[in-house]
Amino acid sequence: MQVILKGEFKMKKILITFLTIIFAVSILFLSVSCKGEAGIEETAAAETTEAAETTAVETEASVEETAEEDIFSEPAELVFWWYGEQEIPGVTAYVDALCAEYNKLHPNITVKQVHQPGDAVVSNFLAAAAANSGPDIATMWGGIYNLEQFWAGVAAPVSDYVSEEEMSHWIGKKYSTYDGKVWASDMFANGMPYLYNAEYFEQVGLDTEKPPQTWEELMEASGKLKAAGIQPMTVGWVGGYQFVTMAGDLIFQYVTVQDIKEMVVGTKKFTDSPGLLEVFKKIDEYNRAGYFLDAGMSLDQFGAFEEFRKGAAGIASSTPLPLFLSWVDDVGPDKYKYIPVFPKFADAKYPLPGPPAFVFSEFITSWSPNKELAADFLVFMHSQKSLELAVEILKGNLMPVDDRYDPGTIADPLKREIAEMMMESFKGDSTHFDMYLPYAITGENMSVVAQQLILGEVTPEEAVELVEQNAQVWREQNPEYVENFKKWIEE
Amino acid sequence: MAPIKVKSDKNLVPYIYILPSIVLMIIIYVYPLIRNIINSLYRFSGGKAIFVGLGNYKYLIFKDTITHAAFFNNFKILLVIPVFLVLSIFLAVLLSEKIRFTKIYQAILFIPYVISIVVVGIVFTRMLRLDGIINFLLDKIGLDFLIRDWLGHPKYALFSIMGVIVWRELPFGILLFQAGISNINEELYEAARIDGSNWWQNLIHITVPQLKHVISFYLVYNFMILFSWIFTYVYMMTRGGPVNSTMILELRIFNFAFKESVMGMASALSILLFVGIFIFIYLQFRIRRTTMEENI
Repeated sequence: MQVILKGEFKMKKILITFLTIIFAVSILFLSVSCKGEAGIEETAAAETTEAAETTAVETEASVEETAEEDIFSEPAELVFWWYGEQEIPGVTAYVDALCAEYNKLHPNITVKQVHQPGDAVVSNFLAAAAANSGPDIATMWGGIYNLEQFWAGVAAPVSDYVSEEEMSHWIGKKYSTYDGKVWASDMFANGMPYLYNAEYFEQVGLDTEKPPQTWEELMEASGKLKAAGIQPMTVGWVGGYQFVTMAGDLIFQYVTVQDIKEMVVGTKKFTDSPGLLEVFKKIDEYNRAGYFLDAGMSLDQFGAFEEFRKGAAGIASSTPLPLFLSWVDDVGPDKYKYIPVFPKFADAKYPLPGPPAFVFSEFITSWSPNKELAADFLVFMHSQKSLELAVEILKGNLMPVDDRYDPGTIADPLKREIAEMMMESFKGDSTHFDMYLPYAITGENMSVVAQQLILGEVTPEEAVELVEQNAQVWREQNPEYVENFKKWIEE
Repeated sequence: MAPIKVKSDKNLVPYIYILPSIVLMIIIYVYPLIRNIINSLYRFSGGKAIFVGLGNYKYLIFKDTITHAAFFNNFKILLVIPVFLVLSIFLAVLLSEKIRFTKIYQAILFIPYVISIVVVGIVFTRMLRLDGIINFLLDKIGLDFLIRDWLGHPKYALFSIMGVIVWRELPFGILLFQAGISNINEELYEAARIDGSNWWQNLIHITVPQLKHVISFYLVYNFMILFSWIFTYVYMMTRGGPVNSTMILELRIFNFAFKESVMGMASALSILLFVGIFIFIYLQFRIRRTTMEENI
């Protein structure tokens, strides 16, 4: 026994020695790596400003150098992370063709494109940003998704590399403008309209060419569908994204984009405005009538659309337009149609110009060694050749947000009509709710509260209270974020 | 080659040999851990790192209701461990009986374990839906009063996921216990048979005590491994919903890091989770060791 204890003691001693060595080496590692990351670690505004100044100096230098040097003369590879195949069937072919065309134009330059799955766009990019490696050009959504990356200092301003004249055609750039600079090229717009099954509408005696225009008409149509044994509407509550898109359709009838932004930072409260309360009241009313698909609580947005495709319901809640249009390519335009503008509420303050749109945008990463090349590729994406490819390959299913794009070139009348409406909708600031709200307020807050509402655990009034309470906790926890956001509002 | 002589009476040569692996271990395990501890003391926001001391921990422990829900869910999930244990011993014993087609049963029972968790998640999500095949079958066999939205209702969602976990992970335990059973001395059973012992008595008084080392290993292993793959199940099946009823700490960490972009908070929670698991496993080892010493 004595021997065992001695042995144990010896082992412990060795173990402690080893752990000390391990700890010391780790500290050494840390000090080395911390030196490398001083830009982040040693805090604050002074650093950001310094970094911005450095970037500006570097940019000026690079622009001058660019004028002197031919950036295409040496072989180089651009890594382009993009996403969208799930929402935009066929977009891979467009990106393939785009990269091939660019390579034809500049044989020394290869664009290596990497498709990202929709639900991993942000996480994969953040992982790449943490390692300062990965794409030269990354894709994300316009608005707050992009801004978070700009604020984190992992993007380089596009406006430092692209001329004012060129950018004057980019009609989506207002969603990527911050601190006087344009940080991304907003390339494509996507809408989320409601769809309906015309055969079901016909079956229950509804006008197949005139979908519901008002909330009362929507309730009436849903009632008729329900009475005929057809589930009125599919919504996938899992993940919360579809609730957010739905809320966007409803809330902008009561509040403006500016109101929403102010609610985020707390200069206005979610409880002060009738907007969110009305959203919850309408959803509650529809839910209590039993008009949502029963299985919705275990479906996500795509699962819900799949159910609609299978004929499980008469109406599909907000669905990505390219998904609908590519489906119409397969089944024809007669059976399934879309509701251009969400039914109007009797007490609506603002009319909706069309389905709220959101944008896919590309930005140059701060660590890219080929920023000028990356900017050139972004300009190429807006070129006539690229716009032609978009029409040819995507068949008008996805709309470029560039004023040189002519929706009139789309042959299919349905797609042409949608593209024209989307263009107007986009110019008219009818954008997606999600573009202005951080995930902590949508995914972690509103969507969860909406699920409680659907399950009957809270009333609409309690739901709004909960959203505001949670938002307030988030604001207190993230003062810097709120400050950045306020600056965005002021701009 | 002459041995390296050092002033100390201890031979350091073996430690020099293992130095490369120690360095590798530091890079892979220790460095991220210490890095994480440091990150947990900061708030990263808008390109800035603001030192907040224990502020992140304070928020997580006292304020964040989602984390609290996740914490309790993690505890609830631990309930699968006794279920694993009982079922896998029981099935392993059955499979060890000299019955016909044992190999076929074994192969069938092992199938779930070779299916990827992602696939299992997708398939079971469809099966457990309100209009899924499970409710369809319940309806057909006259158990329609049991029809539920298994993943869509906060009351049942977590237990449904736990059921899927048991289905997928059980074969490993069966295999392990089968191997353990094959090592039990046959004479013990023969002696028991002479004494008139029945099947249950054999199980309780011979098999289970003889498997205690395997049981002990299986418990520790499950505890360690459970939290490493639970994320995939929840992410694939419910993403923490409905109403955070299946939110687990691992998913909360993921959401903090990659959805809300609050890396400091994610680091703090991962450290809390690490400490929790460490304490639990340490206690298990202590108990195991004490039991073994008592037996000696």
